[in-house]
Amino acid sequence: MDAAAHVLPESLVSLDAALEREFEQRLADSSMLAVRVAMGVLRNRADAEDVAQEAFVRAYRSFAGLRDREKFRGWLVRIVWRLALDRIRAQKRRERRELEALREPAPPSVEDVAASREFQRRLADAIELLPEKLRIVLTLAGIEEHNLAEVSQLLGIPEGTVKSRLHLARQRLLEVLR
Amino acid sequence: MSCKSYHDAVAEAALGGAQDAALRDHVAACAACRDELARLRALSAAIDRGVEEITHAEPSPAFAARVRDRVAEESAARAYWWRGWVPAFAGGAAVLVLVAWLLWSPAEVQAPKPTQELAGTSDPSKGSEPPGKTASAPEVAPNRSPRVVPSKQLATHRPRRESGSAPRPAPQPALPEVLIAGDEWSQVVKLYRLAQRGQVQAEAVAPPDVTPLEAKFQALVIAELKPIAPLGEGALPAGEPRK
Repeated sequence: MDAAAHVLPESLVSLDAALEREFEQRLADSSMLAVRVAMGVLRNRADAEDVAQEAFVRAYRSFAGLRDREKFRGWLVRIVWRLALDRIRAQKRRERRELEALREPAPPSVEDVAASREFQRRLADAIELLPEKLRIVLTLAGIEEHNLAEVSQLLGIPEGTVKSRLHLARQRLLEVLR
Repeated sequence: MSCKSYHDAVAEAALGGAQDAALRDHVAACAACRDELARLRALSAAIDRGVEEITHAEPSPAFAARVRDRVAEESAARAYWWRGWVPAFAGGAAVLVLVAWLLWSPAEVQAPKPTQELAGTSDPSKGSEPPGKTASAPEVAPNRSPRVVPSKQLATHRPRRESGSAPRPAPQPALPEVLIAGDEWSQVVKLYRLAQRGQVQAEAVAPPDVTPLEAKFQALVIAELKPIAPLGEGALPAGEPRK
């Protein structure tokens, strides 16, 4: 065998191994972010974890082709966001069908009656009514503890835009909930 | 100004916006608007906390392991897909190649048959003449697609059938009936062209047992044979018609 035949497979193997290590690192760094973004949409921990896992699997498929891996977190956020929205829409369709079948709304649970729960529910509903651009900024701001620079980096939009969208989102929520 | 006109300004202030002097004066003087501002500030804080609570979640300890499992499952499924389909594709391709070969080369799977007008046919398995002894004519399959002729195959010819033998129906063109060694090719072609132009009498160059040759020369068509090894000097380039 010639020299090239020895070198090429080894370099390919090492590239794969390096990618695997890098992905593993991203998985460790970004798991919480992914789950929280999904939670922001789904408000259900099990569903959020499921969506976050799916997002990581999809990210893994295309990880080698990602040109700028420094943008992995922003990329992942967008994947999670889309998957979570898809899931919640599917859930709502299913719930609507079930409700129509029952022809009677389910009685409120004990927790729903509690004031804090009621506020959370109303807040979640109000958030859901926001346009997507405002909603993702609000969600990420909540996750990143209002670090607007981080949100700006994740979404790839200017920090001023993040600030104005966040303000608009809070303004609308205040109007709905006041 | 009435309280209603401060509606938006109070909300803006509750969200942390600047209060202008007019709003400050109004709030200082109006208990209702002061209460509303306090309520909205509390609500704004509750919204911020609520958003954080909604999104607050820690991945379970098994999260990363489950992702790894799913990635591994997917990789295995892909590998299985390939394992299943690659042999199927290979088998299909092999069948297609076989069918194409049978369709395009039906004559090559049959034994070559002599023709009535091409008297000098050859059968490589039945012996050949030594190199240097030119065959009666370079008889090759007419109008056929290019064939690869091993250059080491020697010029051969089959002696012409006796004139008294029963005529056979003309067979389909088969394999080249005379295989010409690479180093003899150019000479045979040259001779053939000279004969076609009437510059050479076929009888003058034919072996004594092959006569007459005029008909044979006229019936000849030289197919475009592509030898594996380079031809001798003067070989015709591939693609040139050799009629």
